[in-house]
Amino acid sequence: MSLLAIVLCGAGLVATGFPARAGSMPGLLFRATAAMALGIGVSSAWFATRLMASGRPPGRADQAVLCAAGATLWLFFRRKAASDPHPRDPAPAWLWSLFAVACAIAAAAFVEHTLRFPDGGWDAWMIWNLRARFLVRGADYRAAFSRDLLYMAHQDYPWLLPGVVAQGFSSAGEMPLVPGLVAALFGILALAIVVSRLSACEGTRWGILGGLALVAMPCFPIFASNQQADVPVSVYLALASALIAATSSRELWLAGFAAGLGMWTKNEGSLYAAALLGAFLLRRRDPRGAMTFVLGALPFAALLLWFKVTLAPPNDLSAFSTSASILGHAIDPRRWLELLLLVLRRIVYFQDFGLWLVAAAVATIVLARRRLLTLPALALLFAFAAFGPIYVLQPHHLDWLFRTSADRLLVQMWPAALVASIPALRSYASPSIESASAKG
Amino acid sequence: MYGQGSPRKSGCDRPAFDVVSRQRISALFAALAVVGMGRTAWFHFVSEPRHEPRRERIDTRYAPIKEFVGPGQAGYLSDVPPTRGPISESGTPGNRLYLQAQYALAPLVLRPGEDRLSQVVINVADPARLGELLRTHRLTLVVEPTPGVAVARPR
Repeated sequence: MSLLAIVLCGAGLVATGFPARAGSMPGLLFRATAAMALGIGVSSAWFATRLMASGRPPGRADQAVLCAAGATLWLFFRRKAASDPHPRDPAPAWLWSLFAVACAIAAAAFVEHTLRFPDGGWDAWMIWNLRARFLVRGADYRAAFSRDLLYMAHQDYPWLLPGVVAQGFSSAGEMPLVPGLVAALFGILALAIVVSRLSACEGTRWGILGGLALVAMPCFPIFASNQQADVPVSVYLALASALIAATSSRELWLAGFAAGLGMWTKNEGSLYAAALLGAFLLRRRDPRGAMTFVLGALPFAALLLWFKVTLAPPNDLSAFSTSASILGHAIDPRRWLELLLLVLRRIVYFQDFGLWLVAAAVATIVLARRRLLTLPALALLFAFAAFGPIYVLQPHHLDWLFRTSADRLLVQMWPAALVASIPALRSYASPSIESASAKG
Repeated sequence: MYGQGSPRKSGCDRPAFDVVSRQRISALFAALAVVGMGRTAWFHFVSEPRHEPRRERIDTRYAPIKEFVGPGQAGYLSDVPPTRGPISESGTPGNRLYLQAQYALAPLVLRPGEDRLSQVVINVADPARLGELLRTHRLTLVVEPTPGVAVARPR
């Protein structure tokens, strides 16, 4: 029943959010992927809403309501006009082969890492799966957010992922396989969003190139298998970035909806949603469109606010900060310089990123100089810039916090960066050469 | 095909090596992907199996005491206590022991440093120091089903 609720909710939202029919197989795949991601998110958000409202998890009646709501939306909005034709830029056979090999290696690495670390990464058992256990085992779900726990359990974090895992535990029993399967699902969704969106909008070649850039990033299979919330938030950020570039108000609403689910996944999700909104206002100067985006995100912003006000203890970054410490850090040039050096070192951190970040940094400079940065790319630059003061002003040891979080932030933004920058890269490619090779 | 230095949209002539075509972008992505795949394969299938032992499930250490603790809250003591303020390193033995015990024993809430609750979980890195902790905090041992993991109560 819960799987049916996820599928129907997702299908209803996608039917509502897209004004035209999918014009191609990649377009259809993108909608199916979006439907799955949105359905999972809605199901988890409803789980949280029900718990916070009544103290009880959703029952069969709730799932029936979700199924009915999704089916109604789908029936009401399923008739659409035909969409624009799919751009034809097929990927050559060698590129498909390379992509298949990259997927196989990443899948094998995922399995190897999951077997080596059966409880997932440090944050998985310290935060995310700990919360899921509290939610599913406890008579009173509020114990999961107790101030008596050590703050490193981060009771203030939003809980889309623990909600998904807890629902999996409730349905299938508390099997160790459940968090691993959820992690695999979000990893596949991240890849599918990048490949299908770029294939649908730019041509299959560009979709496969985007997929390669994600799946052959050395740290991607590790973070996917770590069972943490970084890949899930990357899914919603990538989805929102893909949809906010559209012109229809329905897609803008769906972009806000996806960004809202990102807010309910991690604290950083709120920063990403604000960055998307800021970039939209700056680039489009369309307050009505911005309001539509905000309306989409509103249910989850309200849920997050409700949680923060009624249940969540203060975040450690604010709890351990004082006005004096913030001011002291702000005017300390050594701290800013240290951050700059840490960032520069991270770009060439081969173990986690291969050479992808070096290439991305060069591409960003080139595209920015030619004024080819897209709206979502601008939003990611805003988010990237906003992390600077957060790192500098926070109360912990800068080197430790950066070392333990920077890679995660990059993984969160990487799928969205591909969705945002590959269209610009395509338009940068020489048109004359393209037409020559198309004839050839 | 690329040897003649095709004119760009702007109309200016440019040398061939400076032309960015989709084929060249594809080749660049492929090269970066091969490097990334090589790193992934080396790390997961050669380096990690040699140097990183397979982890035991966290629950294994704590499963034997689960039947001896009741619901609600418990005090938590250790010879390596967890950090409670701003930190420079989260992976200390004290933090790891506390967080792993909390993960395994949830929904029981473990209160670090608290020794006056009706049940106190003691989780030590060095099992020989259990007696010293019991004496210092005036606790009576209830059970120690696994070396280093025990349940106690106030005297």
